Amino acid sequence: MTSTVTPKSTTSVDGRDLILRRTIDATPEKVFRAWTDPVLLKEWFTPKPWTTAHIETDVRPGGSTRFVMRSPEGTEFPNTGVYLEVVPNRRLVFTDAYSKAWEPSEKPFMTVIITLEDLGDGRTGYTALVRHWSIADREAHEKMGFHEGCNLRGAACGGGGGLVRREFRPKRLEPAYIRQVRQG
Amino acid sequence: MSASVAATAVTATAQSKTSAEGRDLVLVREFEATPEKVYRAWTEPELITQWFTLGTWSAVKAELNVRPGGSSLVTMRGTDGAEFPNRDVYLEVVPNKRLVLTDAYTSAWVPSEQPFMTVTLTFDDLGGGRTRYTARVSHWSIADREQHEQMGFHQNWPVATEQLAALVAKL
Repeated sequence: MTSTVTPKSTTSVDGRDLILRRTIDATPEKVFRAWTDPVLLKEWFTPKPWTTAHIETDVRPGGSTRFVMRSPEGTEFPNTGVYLEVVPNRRLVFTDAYSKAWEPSEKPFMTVIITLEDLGDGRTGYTALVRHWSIADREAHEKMGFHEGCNLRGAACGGGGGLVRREFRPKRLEPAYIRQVRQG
Repeated sequence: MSASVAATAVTATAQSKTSAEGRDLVLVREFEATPEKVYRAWTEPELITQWFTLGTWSAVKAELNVRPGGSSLVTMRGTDGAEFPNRDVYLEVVPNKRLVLTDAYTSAWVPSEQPFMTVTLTFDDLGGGRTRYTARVSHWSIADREQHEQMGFHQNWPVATEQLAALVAKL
């Protein structure tokens, strides 16, 4: 297992998994909202100069999430996924293996398990466990910048702000990057 | 491969009808039994081991945690006595109506070695103690669907389904 520490996040590799841990100065309720409310997601999820063209979340097991990112050149990249498990303010699991319940996607790439631990005093122990179906996919995700995401793309990594920090952002970039990697 | 994408092969055995639709394989059959009984045959270990087979492999033991995120472990035994564990996770459970499971996970939510299929079972109540049973087997690629057909889907699933029909008729 190797670890990479950015200002406030720690990322690590464990077999097919990538893990990000961080303590967030906000309650689990707020972090959960930031992950599930489309209005809030739109604020923090897409790294500039990319923008969010469209986002919708049907937050229940079997519900779909659809997220369209727009590149600076205007190209749109739709991402779809399905929630597998929803425990409000504690746990959120989703995967891109399905585009809707239960239609297989083009390629199952990852399953994201978000865990929120209430540390008291308005603080949250945040863990994003990102599981892949193969070592190769985990490695591809690292090449896309999983560990450095915040330094490469985030404008306000570790900075203040009421919303969740921006180091989580790269995760939804994958489909676009996968295409780029495949196309050389 | 592209030529076969649109192809729809329909194979009928005694009473099951199987077909290929894109990445999916579908089996439809009507049972002279209520949805409750067909659902039980899929979710109770002592019942599933009485009918579930994959070609020459038969289910001999089952541990079924029937809830979304629950694991299904069915031990299959071959004619030579060899055994292999068949692991799935339930994605959706609507008692007596619908059951969805996949081999993409071995437990919630540990990715399997190779995600191959998702099985959506629908039990439609036709009234009069009859059920329309649909097993939709979705794959992540046309290649996997074709491989499943080459593995004998159109023969093996109807055989198992006849065994299921015989069992639910007795419940």
